[in-house]
Amino acid sequence: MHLLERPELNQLHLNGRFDAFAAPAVSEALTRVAAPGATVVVDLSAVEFIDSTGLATLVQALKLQQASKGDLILRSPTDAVRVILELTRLDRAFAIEP
Amino acid sequence: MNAQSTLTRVVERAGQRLVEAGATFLHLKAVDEEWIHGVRSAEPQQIDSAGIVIEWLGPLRRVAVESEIETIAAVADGMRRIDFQRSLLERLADITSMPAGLTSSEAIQAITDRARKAMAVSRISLEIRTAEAIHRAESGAPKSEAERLVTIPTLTAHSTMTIPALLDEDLIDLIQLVAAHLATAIENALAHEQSLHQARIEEEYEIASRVQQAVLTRRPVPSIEGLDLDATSRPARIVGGDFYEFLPAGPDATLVVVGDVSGKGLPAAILTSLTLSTISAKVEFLPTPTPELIMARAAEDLYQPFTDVGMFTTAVVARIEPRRMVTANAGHGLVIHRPWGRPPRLVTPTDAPIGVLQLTSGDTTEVVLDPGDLVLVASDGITDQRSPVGDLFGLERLKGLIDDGDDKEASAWVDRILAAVDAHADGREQDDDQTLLAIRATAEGILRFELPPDLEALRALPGHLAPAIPEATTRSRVELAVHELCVNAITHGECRSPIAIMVWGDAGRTVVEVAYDGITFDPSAPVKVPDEPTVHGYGLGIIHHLSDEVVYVRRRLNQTRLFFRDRSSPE
Repeated sequence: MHLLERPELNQLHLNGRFDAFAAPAVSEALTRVAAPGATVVVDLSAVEFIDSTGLATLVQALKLQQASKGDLILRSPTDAVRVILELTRLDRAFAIEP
Repeated sequence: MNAQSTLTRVVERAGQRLVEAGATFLHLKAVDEEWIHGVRSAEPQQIDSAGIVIEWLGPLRRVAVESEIETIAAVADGMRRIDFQRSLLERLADITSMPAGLTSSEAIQAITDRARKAMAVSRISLEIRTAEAIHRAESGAPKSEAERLVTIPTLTAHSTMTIPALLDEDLIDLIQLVAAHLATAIENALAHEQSLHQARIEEEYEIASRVQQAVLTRRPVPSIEGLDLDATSRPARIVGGDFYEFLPAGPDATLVVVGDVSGKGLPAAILTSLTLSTISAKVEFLPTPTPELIMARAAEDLYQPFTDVGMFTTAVVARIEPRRMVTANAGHGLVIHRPWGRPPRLVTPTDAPIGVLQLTSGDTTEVVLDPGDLVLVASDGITDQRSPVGDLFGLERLKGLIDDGDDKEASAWVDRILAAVDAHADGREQDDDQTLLAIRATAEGILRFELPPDLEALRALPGHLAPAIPEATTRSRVELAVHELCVNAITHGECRSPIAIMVWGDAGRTVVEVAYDGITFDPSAPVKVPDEPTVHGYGLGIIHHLSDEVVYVRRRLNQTRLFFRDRSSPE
C-alpha cells in the first residue's frame, strides 16, 4: 500500500490494498494528517481492496475527528470500496465525495 | 419292514376277511410313486394267495390335484408336495377312526368329503364296481348299473386302490384295515422321505445363498477419485430379497442400484436376480443410461413378472459423481444425505415401487456432494431391527449415528452402523435382510493450499483463488470473505500454524473451506451489521453478506465452509 500524506490540506491519498496488514500504517498516517476540529479527506480513488480492519481504521479516525468537532470525508471511493461501504451501511456514516 | 411287504400283509389279511365273506378275489391297484421306498423298485407282479390277486400298476391318475398356489420355485413345489402328502396321511388316520354303522356308500361319501377337505381339491372319485365289471371294462364292454368297485385314493394324488364290491360292513372293515396299515407304512416312508426332502431343500438353499452372495459380490466396489464407497448386505434367511450392485458409468462416476424385494427367502431372491439383470441390461444397452431412463425401462419390463406373483420391489438407481448424485427412486425410503456439518435429511422417492405402476414419473432428485458429505442407502431391515423387547432400531437412531460432523471412511460408517444395529438387537435374530451402502465424497482432486498465519501472507490469497474461480464478481466476494476469516483467525483466533484452504465448485457455485488450529470460534451464527458505526464487528457481517451459507465444524481444527452462489446470472 502506498500512502501520500498532505498534512497541510488534512489529506491522505491511499493506493493499493487497504487491509489488516496495511491498517497500522494508515492509522499512523491519519494521526499525522489530522488536526483537532479539522475536516480530514481520505482519497480512496486508488484503493483496489478494503477489508473490515481498513473500515475500522476509518471509523476510528472519523470518531476521533467528530470528538473534536471536526469531520472525515471519503473521496472518490472505487467500486470495490463503495460496495463494502454500502454492505456495512457505513455509506450513511461517512460523508462521501464523488 | 418295507412298504411292499406291509402291503402284501395287509392284502393277505384283507383277503382272509374276503374269503370269510365269500368273495372270490381282491383287485388291488397301488401305484409306485417314487417316494415310497421299497415300492419304487417293485415290478408289476401277481401273487396268488388264498385266491387273492395283487396287481401293481403304473400311475392311475384317478385323483387330480388342482394346484393351490402357483409358485415360481421348484423347491417350493417340492415342499407343497410334502404338505399334500401330510394331509393325505391325516385323512387316512381319519378313516381308521370312522364311526361304525355307516353303509359303504356313506363311508365312501365320508372319505370323499374328508379327502376333499384335507387336500383342498375338488376332484376325488370313489367308485364301486363289481369284479365282473373290470373284465368288461378292460374288454371294452359297456358298464352296467351293477358295476360296483371301490377306488380309494390312498397313497398320493396319483394312486388308487380298487377293491371289488363287498357287503357294506365288510367293505368298511376292509377299508379301515387297509387304511390303518397303509397309514403306518406311509408314515414311515414319508418320515424318511421328508427328512431327505428337508436335507435336499436345505442344500438347495445353501447353494442359492452361495449363488446370491457370488452375484452380489461379483462386481467390486469401484474406485473413483473423490469418492469413497462401501456396501454390505446380510440376508435374514439363507437367501434374501435385498440387492445392490455397482454398474459402470465411465471413469469419473458410478451407477449404483439398491433395492428390496417384498418378502424374504427364495422367491424374493429369485426376483432380486431378475431385477438386477433387467437393470444391468438397461445400463448396458440404453444409448444414454440416465437414472430416470434406466428406471423407466426397467419398471416397464418388470411390471408384469412382479404383478403375476403379487410382489413388488423398491429400487434406487443413482448416478454418483464426486460432486453430485442423481437418483431415480422407486419407493425406497431410506436414502439419507448427511451434508458435511449439517443434519441428515431423506432423499425422497420419485416413483412408486416397481411392480405397482408400469409408468414412472421420469423425475430425478439431484444432491450436490461436497467433501465429507455422506449418503447412506439402507434397506428397512436396518431400521426395522427389533431389540429383545421388541422396540425398533428406527430412523432417528440411524440419523443420530451420522449426525456428529465426523468424516470417517465409508467402511467405518458401515461398521459403526451395523455394530449399533447388532447392539440394539442384543442377540435377537435378524428380523429382515439388512443392506447398507455408504457413499462418501472426499477431498481428492480438490485445490488445496496453505497460508502462513500472518497478515502480510494473506496477500497471496487472490493469486491462489483466481484460477479456481473464473467469474470475476464471485471471485472478489470469495476473496474478501476468506480474507476476513483468515484475519479473524490470526488476530483473534490465536492461530499459530498454517491455515489450510480448499476451493471447489462448478458452474454457478463455489465453496471454500478454511481450516486452522486455534481457539474455538464459530462464525456461522447469524450476525447483525451494527446500526451505529463501530470500530469492530464488520468482519463477520461482511462474511455473511458475501456468502450464501456458512457452516462450521469444530473437531481437531476450526473448520469453516463458505458457500457462494453465482449472483451475476439471473436467479
